[in-house]
Parts: sequence; structure tokens; C-alpha cells
Amino acid sequence: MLEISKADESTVLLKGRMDASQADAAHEVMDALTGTCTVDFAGLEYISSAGLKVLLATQQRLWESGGEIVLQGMTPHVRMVFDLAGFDSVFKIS
Amino acid sequence: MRLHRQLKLESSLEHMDRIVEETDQFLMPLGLDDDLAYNIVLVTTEAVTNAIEHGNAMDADKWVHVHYEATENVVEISVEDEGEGFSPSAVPDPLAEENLLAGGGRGVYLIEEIADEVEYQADGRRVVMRFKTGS
Repeated sequence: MLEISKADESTVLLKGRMDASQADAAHEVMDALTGTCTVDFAGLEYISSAGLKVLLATQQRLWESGGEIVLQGMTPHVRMVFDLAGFDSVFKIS
Repeated sequence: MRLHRQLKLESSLEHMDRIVEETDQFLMPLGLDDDLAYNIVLVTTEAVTNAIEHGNAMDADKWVHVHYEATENVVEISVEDEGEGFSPSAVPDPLAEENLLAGGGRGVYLIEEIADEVEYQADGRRVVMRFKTGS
């Protein structure tokens, strides 16, 4: 399961597992983001390629208007997936 | 030591939690370290997602067959769909500069990067992933 909540207008908190079964729900929340936003991964145990795809689509959409996603709080396991996927060069990761 | 388990899943992404639970349960008695167990669950989930979405094209009449086997030094997991098959060499390299911002190919890439051995059988309908668990 994936829990998605907003700490404020520009910060999304992810908790649980972000896989193909949760991609539509994640898309729905991400599609509402504007400007530069922070996605907090501290509660995220797992991300699959389907979850990466959702973040990539959001990043590309925000780039078009001069914004972007900044990612924070990744566990080492989730960071490993980002690094393997080459996404450390696509997202700011703090 | 030889442990094995078989699983048959409908072609629905609603079963992703089940594949995680089944894989966790299979691995638990092996006492693997956390990183290896995490990686095995990750790539098994990727392979099942590919089988449901691409292999079986979400066709509810088609099944995904998962077979787990553990021997003393190796965990082997095969995931088979009932689709048309595919050629792994046709999957673009997602890390190539021209593909980095494209959406596809990362599931296969993660499987091949993380598993110690990957073998495609039955015209690509079956992927066999092996993980070394001992010296």
C-alpha cells in the first residue's frame, strides 16, 4: 500500500510501497503539483520502475513551467534504485 | 537443502501486495541479509509487473506463473506469462542519454542489474533470475 499526504502546498509525503498497483493514485496527487515541490521519501520502503515513471512524468511537466521536484529523505534501498536508474542526474536529491 | 514454492496469479496489478508477501515468506527461512532479500523482492515484483502489463497485456484470461527455488547457495525465481514473448535485446537502454527521460525499459534494466544471472526462455515469456546466497 502507498499512503500519500501533503505536509503543505508544496510538500508531498510518501509512505509504504510505490509500485505499479499504486501508480494511478500517485499520478493523481503528482498531477496537482505546481512550481517547485518537495517529495519526502522518509516513509517510503520501496519504489519500482512504475513509481519512477510517475516521478519522471511529473518532473518533465514541472520543468516546462520552470519548476521541479526535489526529493528528500530516501532510505539507502530506495536511493540504490534511483542511482541504478540514472535518476540521480534527473532529480535533485537532498 | 531445497525449498520451492509455486504461485499462479491473475493478470491484475491488484496482486502486487501478494507477490511481495509470498516472496518475503519464501525468503524468510533462508535468513538472507536485508539488502539481498530487498533486492530479490524488488526484481520479482518488476518481473511480475512486466508479465502482467506487457506479457499478458492485462488479459484477465491469462495467468502469471511464479516458481521459487532455493538451494544451498542460490535462490532461483522464474516468472512466466502467457503472452507473445519478447526479445530482451529490443528493450532500449534506459541509461542512454537519448532514453534517460523516456518512460520504458527500466524494469528489465533493474532485473538485469540486480540479479546475478538472468535467463530468458520460451521466447521471452519466461524470465529466470538467480541470486547467489552463499560463497
